Amino acid sequence: MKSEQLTVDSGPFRVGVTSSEKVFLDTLSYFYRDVLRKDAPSVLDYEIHIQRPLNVRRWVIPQVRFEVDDMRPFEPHPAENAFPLYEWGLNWCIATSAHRYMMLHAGSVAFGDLAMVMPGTPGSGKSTLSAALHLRGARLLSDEFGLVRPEKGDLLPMPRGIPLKNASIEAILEFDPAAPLGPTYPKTRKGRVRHLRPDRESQIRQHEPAIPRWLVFPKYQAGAKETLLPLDKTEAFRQLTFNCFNYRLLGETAFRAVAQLIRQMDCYTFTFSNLERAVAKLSGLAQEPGAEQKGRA
Amino acid sequence: MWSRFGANIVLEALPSANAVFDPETGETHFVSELPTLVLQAVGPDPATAAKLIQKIAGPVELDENSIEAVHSSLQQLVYAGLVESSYH
Amino acid sequence: MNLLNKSLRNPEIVRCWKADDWNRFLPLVRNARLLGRCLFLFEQHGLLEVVPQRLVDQFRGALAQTRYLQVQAKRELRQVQRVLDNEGIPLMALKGVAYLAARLPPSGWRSLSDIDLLVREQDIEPAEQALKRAGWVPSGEFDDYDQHYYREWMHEVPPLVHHNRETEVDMHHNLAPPVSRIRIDAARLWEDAVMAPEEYGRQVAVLSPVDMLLHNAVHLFMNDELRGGLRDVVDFRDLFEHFLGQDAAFEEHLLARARALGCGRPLYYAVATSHRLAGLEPSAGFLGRVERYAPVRPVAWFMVWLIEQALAPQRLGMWQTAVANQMLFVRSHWVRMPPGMLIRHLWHKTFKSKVPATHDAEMPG
Repeated sequence: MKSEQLTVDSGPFRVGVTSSEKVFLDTLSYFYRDVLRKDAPSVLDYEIHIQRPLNVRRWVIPQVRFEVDDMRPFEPHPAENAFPLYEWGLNWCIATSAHRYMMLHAGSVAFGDLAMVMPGTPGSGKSTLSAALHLRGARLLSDEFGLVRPEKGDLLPMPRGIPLKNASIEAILEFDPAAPLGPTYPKTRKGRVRHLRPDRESQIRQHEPAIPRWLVFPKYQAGAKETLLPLDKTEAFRQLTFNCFNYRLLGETAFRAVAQLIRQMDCYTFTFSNLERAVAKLSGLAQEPGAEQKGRA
Repeated sequence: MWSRFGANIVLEALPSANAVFDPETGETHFVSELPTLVLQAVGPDPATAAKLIQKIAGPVELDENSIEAVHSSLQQLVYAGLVESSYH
Repeated sequence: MNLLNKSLRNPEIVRCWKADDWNRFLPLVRNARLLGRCLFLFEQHGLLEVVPQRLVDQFRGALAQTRYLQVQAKRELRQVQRVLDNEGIPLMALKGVAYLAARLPPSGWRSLSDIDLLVREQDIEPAEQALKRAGWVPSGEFDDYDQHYYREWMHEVPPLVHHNRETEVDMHHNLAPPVSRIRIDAARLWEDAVMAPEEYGRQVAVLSPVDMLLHNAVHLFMNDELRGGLRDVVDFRDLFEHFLGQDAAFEEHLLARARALGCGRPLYYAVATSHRLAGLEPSAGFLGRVERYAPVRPVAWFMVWLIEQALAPQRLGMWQTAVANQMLFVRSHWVRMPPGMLIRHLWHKTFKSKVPATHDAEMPG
């Protein structure tokens, strides 16, 4: 098995990926062909290896391991799950080292260059909402990591494959039958997963920051009517800190950055059950007169 | 007697409360108006409640309820680790 | 010697580096926990503009993490001080938390995940009891054997942690265990101790400059922390340079104290290693005199090879590193324990290495 190396720009991070798994490399190219670097060797943030072990699991019920800096932070996964393993592993690398940014656990999309940030715990529906808003034309910034530059208060995009789990897959296909979804991974640790590929424009514009403008805490609730309610700023501050990976670690820097975000964003909670209506409601925010002005803090 | 050792708190005013960051512990607290005033009056030298009240209210005399409120604020601040209490 | 060592010895070389060099460099620095240190190194030498921005971002990210851990460590120290001051127990800070308290250069970049403290031997039981009464609990599960190991052999109580917080507290009553070949008279450490600047009405003692360096040497080359130890080797260099800057006769004092405390051998290893791998430039006279503490030639060469494989591999993940680490692990226990104890200890810890624990003749070092 021959090893190949690809270089991918994932938002501000440049990742070298080495693997002999042909299917995995093909999937990587399918998702990120617009941001693969073909030129001479360049400086990397992370050099990741996805390879089979040298033991019997190389051939028998084959496994692959995620390796970075001579470390294997996770258990091996079945070889057919190489792509989800890579995506989660890269998230781990970023979450544990990219403290130059304030990292929000949030999905985000941009209307023009104004960002709607949707923090949420698993099950809140933020990934599915981000996917739906993106499919209807908003630029995808991220479904998982809101990368805030504390000194500027802006958001750096990192548009990657959006992992949709179990029922969300059907929900998105119902919402948009032509949605570009990658392969199905039936048996991952999180259940059945398919990834939505971000459109070409979102990917090639991934170096353009966006200005945070709307802060929406989503909550998926089966059967609920779409309800957008303004959120008290103190509560919004508190909730945002709960949804920030490195809030405590960054100390005063994060404190000030969150205060600034809360000041410049309109804050809401949002309950929803139907993607079509949810997208209409949230896009409505972006179309309101005066949306432009406030954003320029 | 109450005192606070350490770096000054960092304050960001929000519409309904003050967000307070304590560099000594790395904790963030949400503190309403009166406790904020009390916190800002406490310094490294231990002071009695009476002294603090004087600092906050100046020449104005506070009624019983207000004095009660100051004491209760001090308790909240101690519980949050923003202020230390000691006895002499 | 790898790119990290080379850049520590002569930072200017990075001006000529290409992408491949930086890509080999970054994992080495991350692994050695020297990201923060490198930021300062390049800043000091006016090289920051040639360092790729994404690396500078990684350095800054690591520094942010370090600052957070430092705040937690100082907080923990203050809490421990409150309790022990109340009991009248004198307290000394060691290593990372000492550099913080004494505002020494490594506090600019050095991370730490626990705090190391020294109390007098007669105080260690009362101190442990006082902390437990005040809410500290053992930080792991220790069976009777572990307890015995820590207390009788290792000069420590098992690590404690406060139930409300996360920073571990490691209390010692000496720098080298009573059962090791090196016997340091702890009373002499206390005699020469220095008070760190006062903070919030409290002061903590730290080791005198020469003792601080000897502690670094003893800790690194006698204890089982050689894995990841390049950071401590860099600390040795940074402290050495700092103290030399304050006292022109520092090298003299260091040698005299090493002789007095019987720490010549670890001092030799620390100096040789930080000279080779971390850019320390002592005077030729000093190097010559410290070499008198070296072991016989073949052993010295073997040790140099071992240390270099463990601390400065060309690339991460090389098999030599793994073997070297195993051998150093065995060696460091050997220098701490009589052979009979060592075998019992290693067996109990279910040591899986293929390297036999020998109990005849010359293990190097």
